[in-house]
Parts: sequence; C-alpha cells; structure tokens
Amino acid sequence: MGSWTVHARRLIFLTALLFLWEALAGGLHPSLSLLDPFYSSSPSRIARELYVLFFQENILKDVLVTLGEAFSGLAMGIASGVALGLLFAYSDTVSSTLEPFLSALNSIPRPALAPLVIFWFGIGIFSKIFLAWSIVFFVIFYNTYLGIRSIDPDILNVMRVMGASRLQTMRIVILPSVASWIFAGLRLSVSYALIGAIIGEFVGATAGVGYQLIYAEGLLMSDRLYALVFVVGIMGATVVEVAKRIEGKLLRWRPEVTL
Amino acid sequence: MAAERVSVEGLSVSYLSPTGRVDALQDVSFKVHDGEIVTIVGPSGCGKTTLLNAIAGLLSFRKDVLMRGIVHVRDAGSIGYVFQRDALLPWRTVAENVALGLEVRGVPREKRMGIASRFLRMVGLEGYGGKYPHELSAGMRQRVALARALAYDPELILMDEPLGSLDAQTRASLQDEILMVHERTRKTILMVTHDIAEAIILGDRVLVMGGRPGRVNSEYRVELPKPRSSHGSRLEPEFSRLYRAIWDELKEEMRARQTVRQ
Ligand SMILES: Nc1ncnc2c1ncn2[C@@H]1O[C@H](COP(=O)(O)OP(=O)(O)O)[C@@H](O)[C@H]1O
Ligand SMILES: [Mg+2]
Repeated sequence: MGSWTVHARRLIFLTALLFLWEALAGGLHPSLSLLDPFYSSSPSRIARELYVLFFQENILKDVLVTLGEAFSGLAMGIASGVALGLLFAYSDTVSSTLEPFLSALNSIPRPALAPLVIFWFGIGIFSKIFLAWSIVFFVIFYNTYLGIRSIDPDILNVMRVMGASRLQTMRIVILPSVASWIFAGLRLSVSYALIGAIIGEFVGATAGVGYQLIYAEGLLMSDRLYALVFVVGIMGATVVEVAKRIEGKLLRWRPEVTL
Repeated sequence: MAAERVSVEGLSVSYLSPTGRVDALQDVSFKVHDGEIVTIVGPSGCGKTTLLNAIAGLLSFRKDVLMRGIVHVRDAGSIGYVFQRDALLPWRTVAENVALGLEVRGVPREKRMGIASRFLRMVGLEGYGGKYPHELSAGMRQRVALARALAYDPELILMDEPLGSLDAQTRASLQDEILMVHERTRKTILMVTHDIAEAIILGDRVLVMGGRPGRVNSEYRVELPKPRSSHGSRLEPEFSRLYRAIWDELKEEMRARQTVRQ
C-alpha cells in the first residue's frame, strides 16, 4: 500500500477518466461528443470556472464564511455537549428524566429543522451556527456520556484506595478519558458541522458555499455547480485531514485509531 | 508476634440488586500481622474479591451493599491495591502511572518521577518509564501495577489474582519479584490467587475459602524455608504435603457445590 506503483496506477486511472469525460463532452473532437455539456460539463470547463471563482468572484470569502460557521458550531457543540454529558454521568436523576427527550430531539433529521431555524435566527450566520451546533452537540454529548460510563471501574477503585479527592479523580481520570472520546470523534464532528452550515445556507443566506450553490442552480450555471461541488469536496477533505492529524497527535497513547 | 495490620471479625456482606439479594460473605474472621504475606484460595464466586474490597474500604460507601461485622485496618489510608487487570491509565506514561499515588498525595512532579523510576528499577523495568501502557506486554504492565501500588509506600498491599492472566513463565518470574519486593520492603501483603502452588510459595499462611455465601474454611501455616523462590520452593517436601492437603479440601468443596446444584 502507498508504494509508487500504486500511486502511478491511480494517476493513470484518474487521467484516463478525465480524458474520457472530456472526450465524451466533445472537448477533444466534435465527432466524439456523446454527452450534452450543459448537463455533463467537462474537466476543461470546470477548470475554467474554478479560475473565475477564485480570481474574479472571490469564492475564498464564501469558503471562509462557511468554515467560520462550521467551526463556531463545532466549538459550541463540544463545550455544551461535554457539559451535559458530565451532568448526565454524575446525576442519575437528570439522565433518567431527560434521556427520552434528547433521543427524540436527536432523531429529527436536521434539514427538516432548517426553515424553522432560519425563521428564528434570520438569514445571517447565527442560523448556520445553530444548525452545525445541533448536530455536533448530540455527537459530543453521547460520546462524553458513554466515555465516562466506560471508564474501567478498577481505575476508579485505584483512585479511591489512593485517597484521591473528587476533584483529583475528575482531573486525572474523567476529563482525559472524555477528551480522548471527543478527539476520537473529531473527524465525524467536523464533517457534521460542515453539513449543518451548508444546509442552513441552502435554506436562506447571503454568503457561503451553500449559498453560492443555490445561486448557481437558480441561474442554470451548470459548470459553476460542478466547480463548487469540487471546492466543497476539497474543503471537506482538508478539515477531515486536519482533524485526523490532531487526533493522531493527541491520542498517541492509543494502540491504533481506526475509523 | 508482630502487631495486627488487618482484623476482620464476623464480617458478612450482601449485594442488593433489583433482582434480589446475593449473600457474598458470611461471618468471616481472620487477622493479618505486620510483615506477613497471607494468601487466599477458593473457588470462584466465594467472595474473595468482595473480601479484599471490604478491607480496601471500597464497599462502605456503596448503597447497594449491606455490611455487618468489623473490618479494621491499622492506618486505613495507607493501602495499595493490585487488580487482576492492571487498571493502568492508558493515557499516562508508565512512569506517570507509577507516580500516581504520589501525585494524589501532592508530591511535586520532579520528586515523584524520581521515586517512580526507582520503583520501576525495582520491578525490572528500568528505561520503560516513557512508554505508554499499550506498548508493554501483559506481564510488564502487571509489574507497573505492582510498582504503582508500592511507590507511595503504603503499609498494606492487597492483590486480587494479580498474576491470573499471565502465562506460566511470566507468572513464575513475577512470583519471584513479589518475594524479592517483600524481602526488601517487609510490606504486609494479602493476596488472592486461584493457583494453589502460588498461594503456598508466597504465603506465610494460606486461607482456604469456600461456600456460598463465602466463609474461611481453614488456615494452613506454611513452614517453607526462606528465602523462597518460584522454582526452588516447589521441590520441598513441605510444599507437596500442603499442596495435597489444600487440593483435597478444595476438591471436597467443589463436590459439595455440585451436589447442591443438582
Ligand atoms: N456488584 C455485585 N452485585 C451483585 N452481586 C455481586 C456483585 N459483585 C459480586 N457479586 C456476587 O457475590 C459473590 C461473590 O463475588 P466475588 O467476591 O467477586 O467472588 P470471587 O472473587 O471469589 O470470585 C458472587 O456470587 C457474585 O456473583
Ligand atoms: Mg474475584
């Protein structure tokens, strides 16, 4: 895996695919044209559109808007999810009372919530932050709660026998264990945050990549739609890669992190 | 005779669960003196872990546990506990794990890391302090757990089948390790094992438990010469005599249990 021949084979496959696409869309010779480029676009058209997006339309600004919304939602989701997770783990009264309500809320598909959220918060960034938060919060909350409950009871017994205070047990055992669960779910959380932000932009916004997608669709700019999907794909891949790096750094003590 | 370290008198313990009540121990009495190694054998489920937990003070705060009788430990805040599974903190290095008890007691980092490396040397793990637990074999992790239980200098060490999950070779070398540590530190040790040979080799006395709810059925004084060793002590006639006696008693116990079940 990852050897030069594998990379070479992948590169050849990708090049062949792009050539085939370009040819079928009539970009190499008109007689080869089998697809209507209005629907299929083509690699060269997309490349041209990407140039326009980056150097004439300043798409980077929209990318940053979407990332900003996603990260705000992520940060708030982590903070509130950990807080409620701790509360659930420490109080049986709270957890047994609230459990069914949280499950019910979490079972709402978030896109269904988007119009209402726009109605509450308007078409600015707050509605997108809320939607991103509404997904991340539950992921982090469940991870925290399960993380605490899955702590080896013998570790807690060791702390007790050593005479550790509640605060020491919290600092030495509970919080590191919660942190490890959160970082293990970080990749998932950042993708969810991005999804939440983009859904919000679909429903009502004045900036962001989701807004640009809806805008291009409205004007039937098919090349631009392809180019934007490409941009969003790169965005997603980048944040997931960054999250993976952070995970790898912070969870060095783990045997292996596979997801 | 040395002073009493642990004294258990008429101890009964029951677990209360939604499905009913389980009597785990009934009227258990015995003493452990300073510097002694006392080993406990008995069929699984006879309350050995419950007994150690009661002595460690891990049951008194639980709402689902009913305790009667007296458990007295001189200097009850000074106990070390080694579990069957090492119970190391996976996100801490080996040295930080060993230093845990000292950290809890507020010993400054530099000082406690120095002490930790001394104890790592004692259990033959010099140079492993910077590794994480998952990078070590099961036997090495159990050595770390032993070092951790010793490092904050507790007077009494409780061990619950600490070598139960190790292969024969590793187990023998850790038995020697425990004998050596005891020789050097003279700590009082109370150890549960399911291995009769181990109980005899390590113990000054062997308590045999049985029944449901569990009781201490009998006690054997081990007169094997010292210093002992895992391989050497097995060759003594006294070893075979004790082994047979304890084995016969446990077999009887198992038979009784089977007839009860039928
Ligand atoms: N938390 C618990 N709740 C209910 N029953 C328990 C609990 N812990 C142990 N028991 C029961 O108490 C008895 C003694 O258990 P234990 O002390 O673990 O025995 P041993 O260590 O000798 O195998 C067993 O019958 C076991 O099922
Ligand atoms: Mg047990």
